[in-house]
Amino acid sequence: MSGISGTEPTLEGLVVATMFRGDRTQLLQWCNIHLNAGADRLYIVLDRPTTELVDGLPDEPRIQWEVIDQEAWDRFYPRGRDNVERKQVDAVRWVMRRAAAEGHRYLAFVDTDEVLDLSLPLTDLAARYEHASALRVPSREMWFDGPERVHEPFGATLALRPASRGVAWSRALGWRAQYLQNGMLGHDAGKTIYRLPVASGAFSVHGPVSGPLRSGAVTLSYDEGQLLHYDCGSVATWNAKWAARFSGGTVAAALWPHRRAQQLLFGRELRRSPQLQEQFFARFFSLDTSSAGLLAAAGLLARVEVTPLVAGPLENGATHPDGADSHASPTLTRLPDPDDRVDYQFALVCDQNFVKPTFATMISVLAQAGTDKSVRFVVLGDGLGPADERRLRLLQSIAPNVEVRVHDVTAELDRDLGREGHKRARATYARVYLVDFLPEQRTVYLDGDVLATRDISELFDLPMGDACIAGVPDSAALRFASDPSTVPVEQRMRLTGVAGEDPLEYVNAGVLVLDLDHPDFRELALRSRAHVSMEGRVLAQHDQDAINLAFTGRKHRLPSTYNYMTQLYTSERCVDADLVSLKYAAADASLIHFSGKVKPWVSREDEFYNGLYRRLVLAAEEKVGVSCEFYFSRPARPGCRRSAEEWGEIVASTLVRRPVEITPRTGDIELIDVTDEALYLRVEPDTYELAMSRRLRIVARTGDRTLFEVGLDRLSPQQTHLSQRVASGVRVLPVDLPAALADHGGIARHVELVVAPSDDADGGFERPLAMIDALAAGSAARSGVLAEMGVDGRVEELADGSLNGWYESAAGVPVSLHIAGELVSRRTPQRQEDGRRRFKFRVGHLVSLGYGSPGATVSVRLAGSNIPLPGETPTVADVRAASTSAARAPTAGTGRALLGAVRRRLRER
Amino acid sequence: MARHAKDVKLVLHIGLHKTASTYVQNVLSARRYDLVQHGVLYPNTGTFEDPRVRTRDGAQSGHTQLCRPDRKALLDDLLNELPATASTVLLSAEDFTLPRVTPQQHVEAFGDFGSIEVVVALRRQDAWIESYYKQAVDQYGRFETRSFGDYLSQVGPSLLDFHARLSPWRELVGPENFHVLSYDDMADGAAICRRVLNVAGVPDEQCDGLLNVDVPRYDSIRAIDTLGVRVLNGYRLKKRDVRNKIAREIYAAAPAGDIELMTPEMRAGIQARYAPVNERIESEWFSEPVPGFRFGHDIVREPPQPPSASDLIEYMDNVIALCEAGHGSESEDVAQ
Repeated sequence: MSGISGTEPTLEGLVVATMFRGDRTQLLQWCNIHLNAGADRLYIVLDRPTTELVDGLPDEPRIQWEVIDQEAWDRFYPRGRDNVERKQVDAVRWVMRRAAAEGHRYLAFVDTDEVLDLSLPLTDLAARYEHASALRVPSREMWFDGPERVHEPFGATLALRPASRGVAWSRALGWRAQYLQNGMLGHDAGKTIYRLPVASGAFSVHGPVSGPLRSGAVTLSYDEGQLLHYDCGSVATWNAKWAARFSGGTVAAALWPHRRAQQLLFGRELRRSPQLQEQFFARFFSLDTSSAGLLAAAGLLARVEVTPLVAGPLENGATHPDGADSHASPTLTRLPDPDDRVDYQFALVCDQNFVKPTFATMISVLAQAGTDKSVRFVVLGDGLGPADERRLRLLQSIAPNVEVRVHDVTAELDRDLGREGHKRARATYARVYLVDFLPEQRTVYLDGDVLATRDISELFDLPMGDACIAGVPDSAALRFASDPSTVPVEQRMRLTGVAGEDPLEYVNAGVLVLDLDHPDFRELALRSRAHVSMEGRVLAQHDQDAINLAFTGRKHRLPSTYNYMTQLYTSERCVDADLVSLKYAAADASLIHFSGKVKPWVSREDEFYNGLYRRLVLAAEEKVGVSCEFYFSRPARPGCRRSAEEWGEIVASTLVRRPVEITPRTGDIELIDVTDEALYLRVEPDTYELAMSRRLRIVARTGDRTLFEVGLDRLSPQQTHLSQRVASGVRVLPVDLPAALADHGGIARHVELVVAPSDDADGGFERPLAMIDALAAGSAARSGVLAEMGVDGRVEELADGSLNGWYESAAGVPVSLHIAGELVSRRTPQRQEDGRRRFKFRVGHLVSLGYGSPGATVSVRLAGSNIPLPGETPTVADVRAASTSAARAPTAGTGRALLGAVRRRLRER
Repeated sequence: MARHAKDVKLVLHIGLHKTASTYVQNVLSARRYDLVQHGVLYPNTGTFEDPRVRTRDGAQSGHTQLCRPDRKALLDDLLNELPATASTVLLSAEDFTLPRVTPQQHVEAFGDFGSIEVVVALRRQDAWIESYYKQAVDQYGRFETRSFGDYLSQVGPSLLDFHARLSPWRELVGPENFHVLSYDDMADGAAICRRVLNVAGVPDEQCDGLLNVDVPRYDSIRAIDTLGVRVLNGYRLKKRDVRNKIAREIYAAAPAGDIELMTPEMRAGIQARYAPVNERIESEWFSEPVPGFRFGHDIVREPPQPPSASDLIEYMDNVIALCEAGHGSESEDVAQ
């Protein structure tokens, strides 16, 4: 149910915040929509804006413009680590503090391609969910109802709900369905309205992820409100958004596979003329009547119109439905088209098991083609390691005209086919992803069990009429055409279903000529890709079925000499006269496909085709001067005869740099704990170096009062002794918490820690670090504070050298062990049989390691708050005494235990 | 028992191999009791080695036993050896960089200490891999028989990228506690030892006296020696002392002159591939320019004069005779 197009403003009482980097018109329209819907105030964080943008921003009392330039980002984030999501989260934290200080009670954080559409006034929702820390708003994604309004950032009117199961997306959206996840091009996680001051806990761009913030959040129903996500935007915003990605302007933390696929698709489209880009945009992001009808019937589609709200109060270039400018052609960026055509381009796919044979295929082609023409091999790999890629690339060092490109498609295969159940044939599916990676020119695809016996360059000039691919009829199709009774009926019916009346239309995908220069090739290839993405698990002949289905009627038939399938001609099924004559007629083949299940590089059997394979490989190895390292291969050339280029390839590093596993790991700088004398921070090396060079500080505030500030140059070395019991990479920053909290009676609520620049002269962006619900010094925390925080617990006893107790917290905050004011250990209590979450600290052992002097106290505290749990607070001397008595006790204890066990046994009998 | 490790800094000198580390260890061993006076423990724990395992005098591997996965009992011994006066423990062993134990496992194993600092000396890869290969051939353990070319192509890719190999150490201890030295840009082993001592907290002015000590030299074997010892390794003699005795005899039997293991093409290939890596290391990890390490100048060395064909034949005959004799003696032992 949409409320935004109604007459009643629903956003009164709400601050809406966004971080913006993109199209000015979109921004101003976004402002108008939310102001017209009644928002009290808008906070717009401009991410690295141009001077023209800033100078041209209109004055509007309800809008607070904030600028964060590159220098500000560089001050707080190590280069290469400043991804969009983290910047957004930190920016909104910063804005939340300012909004709370101004007295606002609710803040929503959305992107500038998202509109908050509440069906009920916020005041009503706030009353309904009075105690909620946050309101999660579910999303709908917007599609165009035809191509007419594709120039309007908010011109899409069909609002689609996400759905994970039971929806025939392929039927509704055709090949576009492969780019969706749960029916969405973008996220399906929605966005959130936060109550201010925001409760403690972490949140992502979508909503709360930990702490009281998460435990206190509620999710609105679609009847209460929704987020309209204009992921498509207009053709201009779409062009700007993706062009920025390709030029490195924005860095996403990690792309979901469907987003990665979109990026590959849009990257191609952005290389075309503006006119073709616009045509693509209109076709891709519009739902026709049939699609819309199907989705509406499934209860997923609603119509929402926000266009009446985009005009005024800000002047934005007019995008009214009847406005004269709404169809103005935008200026679109066109990505450079790489001028990288070669004479012959070949494509291959392989996994680790097929690296050597694929290499053999490549050298057999190269041996026949010679090295005077430019040749490119594009290999798509499934799970290849650095050594595998290095082997494939070795050919580049043989001749300057040879280029080898290896692309990893493991993530795509994982997404579309899963990691299990396809081990043997999974890599072959990678053929359908060639459309994403091949430079656009005619290409010959070869399976890794195909060898060339002569030059096949004529395939690159072969007239193909209106066909987009060319191939040889599959062996099953040949048998079907020759004698249907030799093909099982189920297979026959499947072939008929795929190929129609003429079974020879069904080509074998082991050798294919792909005419990427044909204007229709791309869309047909994307259709075959969609079959694999959406229905890959049900394809009996893998992607071969998908390719045959998608290219129906657009296939050119090649003679069998271009794909001589040994499995067919050696099988006992090859008895029909037609097939036998074909067997001999095509025997002098240009491309031999060793298609049998037992491969000749594995079998040492003295069989004809095994011998042929060995001879062809040996000849190619000799001619090209490399070794495939098969059991029969010629030995690799001695090292002393290799060139410098070859050695450069050979010694290339096989090491994969993986960051050390830091636990827990939620950010590059993180508050671990607080004591009276120190903050415990985990700081990653890059951020540490940045903090030193920029002389950054930590500032703690509650409301508008500063509690303390301390320079990060006082950080200690990493505390190795805490790495096992607390976290690795922890450093200590000295503070005087009792002095800082003296004016607050020893305890402060809603304390925010920020990373601030070396001096506060610029007064701009500060990087949020943590929000602490309550922070106490010494034992100043009143017992009531724990209850206010939703925490209950007690340190019950010191026994057998352990400090034991229980602890309940809705937010799941861990508890810390402090000895003499030092952090020593940390636990997240686990629920036990008695229903309580219990903890047990082996303090006896820790004291024996040298923590604390005899008079020092031992306490258990809420991590990050320094608030002690009530109950036992022994001294180190007490612990030592208890440990000593426990050490003495075992004999007696064991005796008593034995006696008890005997008595129990006797009773049971 | 002094168990106050959390207040103690641990300094790990982790090599690399063939960067004067044996010299450093010999000096530190000689100055063990002087170092304690400076608050630095260079412990006995973890250093014991059987002298028969070495083919040449002057060899040692420092605290190699503390690099092994099964070191738990030794770590207890190390804490027991820690005097109350020590504020720093200094360990030195090139084997800390071997892949059998990860940097994370090492750091976790030493988790009782308050903080860890790491010192590592790097050396330009085209020179380093040749020395490393010679050591691999010299050692008993793996009976290395591969040619230098095969070794370079099979092992080199996993060894030569120092940035990838050592970054985990840097991340684990923090950038300010990770100290890199350039073997190619330092005057000698004493300069490296001085920097190690500085990191351990010994003031520079105190180092002169500590470094004023005679220690045995332990140079790499010659290239021609690798030919004979590869043949010996091919026999895979089971008794280490017998094998090492024969190795010493092979070294003694080598003719005058030497051969080149590293061809100009190999050197050029390594430099082309690793110059960008070394430049990155220089900019990120070093505070001073290290032109030697980033292949800033050529290795100036007169090409060795190869032995004559007749000398070479005589040498190989000698090698085979020695190996056959050793093999025969082992067979007799089995027969008895």
